[in-house]
Amino acid sequence: MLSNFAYVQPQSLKAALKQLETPEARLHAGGTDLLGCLREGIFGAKKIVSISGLNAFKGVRETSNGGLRIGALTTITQVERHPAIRSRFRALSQGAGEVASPQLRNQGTIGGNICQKPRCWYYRGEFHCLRKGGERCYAVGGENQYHCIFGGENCFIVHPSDTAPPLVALEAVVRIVGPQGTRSVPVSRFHVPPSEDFRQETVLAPDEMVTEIILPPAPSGLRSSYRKVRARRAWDFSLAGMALAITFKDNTVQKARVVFSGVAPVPWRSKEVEVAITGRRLDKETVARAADAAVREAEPMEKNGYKISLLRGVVEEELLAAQSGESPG
Amino acid sequence: MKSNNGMIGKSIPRIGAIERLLGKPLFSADMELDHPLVLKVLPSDRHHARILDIDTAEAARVEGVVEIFTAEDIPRNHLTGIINKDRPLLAKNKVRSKGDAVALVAALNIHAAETAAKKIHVVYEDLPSVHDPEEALKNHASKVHEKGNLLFTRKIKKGNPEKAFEACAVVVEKTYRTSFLEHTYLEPDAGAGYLDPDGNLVIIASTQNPHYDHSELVSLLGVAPEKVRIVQAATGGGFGSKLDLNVQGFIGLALYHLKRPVMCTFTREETYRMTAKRHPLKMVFKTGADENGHLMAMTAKMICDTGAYGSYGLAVASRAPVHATGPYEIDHVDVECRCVYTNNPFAGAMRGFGVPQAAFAHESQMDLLAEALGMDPLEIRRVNALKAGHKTATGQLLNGSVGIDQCLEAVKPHYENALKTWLHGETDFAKQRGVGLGAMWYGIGNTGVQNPSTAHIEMDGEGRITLYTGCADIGQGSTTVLSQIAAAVLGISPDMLCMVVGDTAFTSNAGATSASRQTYISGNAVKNAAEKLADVLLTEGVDLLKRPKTDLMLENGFVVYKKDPDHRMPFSKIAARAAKRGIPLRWQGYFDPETVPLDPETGEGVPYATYAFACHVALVTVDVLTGEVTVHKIIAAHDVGRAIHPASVEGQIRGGAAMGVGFALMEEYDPSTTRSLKDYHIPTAMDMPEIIPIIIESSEPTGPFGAKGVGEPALIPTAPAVINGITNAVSARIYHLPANLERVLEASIQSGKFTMKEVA
Repeated sequence: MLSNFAYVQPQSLKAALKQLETPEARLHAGGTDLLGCLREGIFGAKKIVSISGLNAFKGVRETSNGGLRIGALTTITQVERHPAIRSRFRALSQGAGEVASPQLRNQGTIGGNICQKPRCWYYRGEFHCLRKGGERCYAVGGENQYHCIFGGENCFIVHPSDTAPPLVALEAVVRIVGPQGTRSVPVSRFHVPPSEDFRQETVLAPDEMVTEIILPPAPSGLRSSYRKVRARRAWDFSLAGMALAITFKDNTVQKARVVFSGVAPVPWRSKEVEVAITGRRLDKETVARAADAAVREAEPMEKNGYKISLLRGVVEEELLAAQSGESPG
Repeated sequence: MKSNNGMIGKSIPRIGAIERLLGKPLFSADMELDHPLVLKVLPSDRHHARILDIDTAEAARVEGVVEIFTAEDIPRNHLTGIINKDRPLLAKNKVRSKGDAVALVAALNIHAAETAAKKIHVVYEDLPSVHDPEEALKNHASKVHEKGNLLFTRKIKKGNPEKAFEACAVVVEKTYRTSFLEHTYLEPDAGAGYLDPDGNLVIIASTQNPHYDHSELVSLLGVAPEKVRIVQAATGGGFGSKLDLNVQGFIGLALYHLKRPVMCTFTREETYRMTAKRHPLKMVFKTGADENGHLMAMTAKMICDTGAYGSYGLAVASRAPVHATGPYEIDHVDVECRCVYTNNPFAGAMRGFGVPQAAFAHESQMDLLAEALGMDPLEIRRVNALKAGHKTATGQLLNGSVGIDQCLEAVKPHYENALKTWLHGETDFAKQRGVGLGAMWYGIGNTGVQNPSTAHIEMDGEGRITLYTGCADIGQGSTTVLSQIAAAVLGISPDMLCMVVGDTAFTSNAGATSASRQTYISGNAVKNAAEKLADVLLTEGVDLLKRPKTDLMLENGFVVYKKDPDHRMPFSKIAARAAKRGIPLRWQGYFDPETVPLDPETGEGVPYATYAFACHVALVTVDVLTGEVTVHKIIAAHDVGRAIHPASVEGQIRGGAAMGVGFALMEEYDPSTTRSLKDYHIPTAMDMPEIIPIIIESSEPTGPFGAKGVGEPALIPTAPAVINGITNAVSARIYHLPANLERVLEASIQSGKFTMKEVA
């Protein structure tokens, strides 16, 4: 059950940052992950700092150059349904639409979605695992059917977000505010792989917060998509997924950003697939080569070998669909 | 003598539906008692261990703790269990699974109770644990219970299958496996208790069987039966798990000692950890047929893991083999099912009692035989379907309602249309379509044992009628159906009846809400009671109306002369007169289906008085590159005898199909990793197909107005139909449920479907 905490609802960014300086303060945006973590005792909190009153960080605005600024407190549903995101950054709209359930999408925010804690069964359970300050990762030699096949080192989680992979594919940038001022970090460098630090999921310091996500203008000829495979149709995390942002010229891939979900501790950019398809038409031979390349570096654990076949399947389906300009969705 | 007033077969508003919509019914956890204590159970964290010591001193010092109970505090019999008593309310000397209750904390608030539970120090000495039922049967295996790990064996023998196999044109032998499942009812187990002014223990609980709860409480506490009253609260589903004593015993124990109001509400995690699961079965099926597809012989070896305690394990281990033939006539049968203790979580009743598992096997076998013979799957089922005059594997002659043929006939146009057009419709390049069939039969009521129901009906001096039934309505709608049956007999509208349900102070035993038995058995008991009252009313009417009894009927609260409806007498007048003359207006109804116990060696007997039948067709699409399965549509034909309340029958069919989709594709409780809903997939609305229920009414002569039952049958054919559909789509069969994404993907790879080239 929840232990006691103070709850504050600052009405300005400055006041919110001040509150965050309290030791063991936790930011509360949509709260969909925070409350679960507190209830399950993953971490404690002395103070909950609700930022739901910071209206400046809600909603989507066009930038002068044709990009978008998405306030961190914009709900997942708003991101999914925003007309400009739907038409120009389809991968993000699709990713948002694949998150959890309608209720959670109405409540959860885009800022919170990219800052989620891992869903590893050991991390969420009663195990004092490495990421929680313990001695070892229990997934090694344990129940690891949902764990990573790329980028595992020390800790073998997968990143649970469905919006982060599209954001990486679309070259989005995160705006972060803290006591030191404001900084911008590409989403591709926002998440921290366990090989660098297995205690931390993002580059955010405890007294910092995400305020905005900035999407650069979509190049002409961009086709983007997000596909997620999971055990059921709603309210479940990705077993394997892929965000694509491909710029075509005369049906040939001019530029590609390919990012996997559900298979690595961070949104996993597959340079291998990008190289295999760049400069080519997405015909069957190219796609088969790309699928081979996608999984060549995979390192399955004892129980997640199926993710290799699964990821191959996703890559093949999505690349063929991208060529025809449709999503098989 | 009876006009049924058009009440049978009419979907009248469900009793209590409006109240539920308004949020009025009180669930156990909603009870408002005077400063109740809260109870918290300390579960074992060992699979199998001796308890050397339980030190509660530190826990008892936690502020707000009132008392901590252990097995020592149970006044009389500490073992519980509806069929065999082997499960201690609180562990004595040893624990047999993680989740065994070791101690019980009563405290002023939940925080104190939880804190204290963590401070109870139990000294265990671990014992070797066994988690596989086949391992558990080996000589060296650690004994879960003193008497040994084999709890029960059921054998069904008919003819000489080994010889018959020799004459078969085709014989198929395969091994099938299923998993532990968690019921995942909406309402976690809960109960509340208080002492009434006479000092009686009143327990209000979420339960499927208040009268059984009553007998267990009397046994645990060693008190007189009249000192305990069990009231069924509004109950948010059960699916079999609320047949066990989940919270009622703890409430009774605390109430007995502390004599002040108590509440016990399980969290979802506690229901997952401490209540029953569906039995996993391993089933080796061998089935043979002649060249025309006639089934000649079948054998099956089944083993079911009942975990640490029996619960309804014996029922499961009886039902699964009895139903192993499927709804087909087979002359030569040899089936054996063993029910085995392990240190896994205990398994008990879950919608279907082993028949869903058996149907997965027999329906897979039917498709395999059809394939080997080049026959259509529907045709091989039609060829073998049971008919009146056939004998089952237990030697029972079927002579009443046998509607499997009609079910197969009813789905035929849908099935053929699906094969002809839908199967070949355009799909995305990675998608393969498949159509599958699943059929089943299901014996109504308990297997070869007495399982009577009683009911009382009473007319007061003003002609108002009250029906008393111990039948727990857990959401399936039995209260409505029973009111329709009584009303039809008495010629009144159901809303003229006052219903008193599930309260042991006022109702008599109707048996468990399980085994799809309440419409048939309690329906008959209610009908019997109503007929006794109706007979009195008619007899009295003779005197008052001066017409022969055969010319009288009951209609709209009057005894009416058939030939002149204006010549009539209201119930109120008859009641007043009867009261004056001392003629009783309270009657008991009774019904016990006619069964013959199964022979322990051959299984010969009459396990059930009647059977329900069904066939589902599933239309599925498989993404051969990812293993994702979409169930598009399920056509579900069910022979229910007579649908007393058709909307409830359809509701059962839809709910059953939903559960069947979960059983087929995703539900699996892993004792080591499943803690709560986040680790356990049940289908969401997004996973649900369109369901087309078809009600078949092959009237059962012994049923109330011809009715049988549908509660469990609704679920049983779904999984086999879905699995056969997947097989049709990917040309590879899955033998282990659930057919989750990983298994379907593997099947796709094995069958060579997992390539772009072939599918593009």
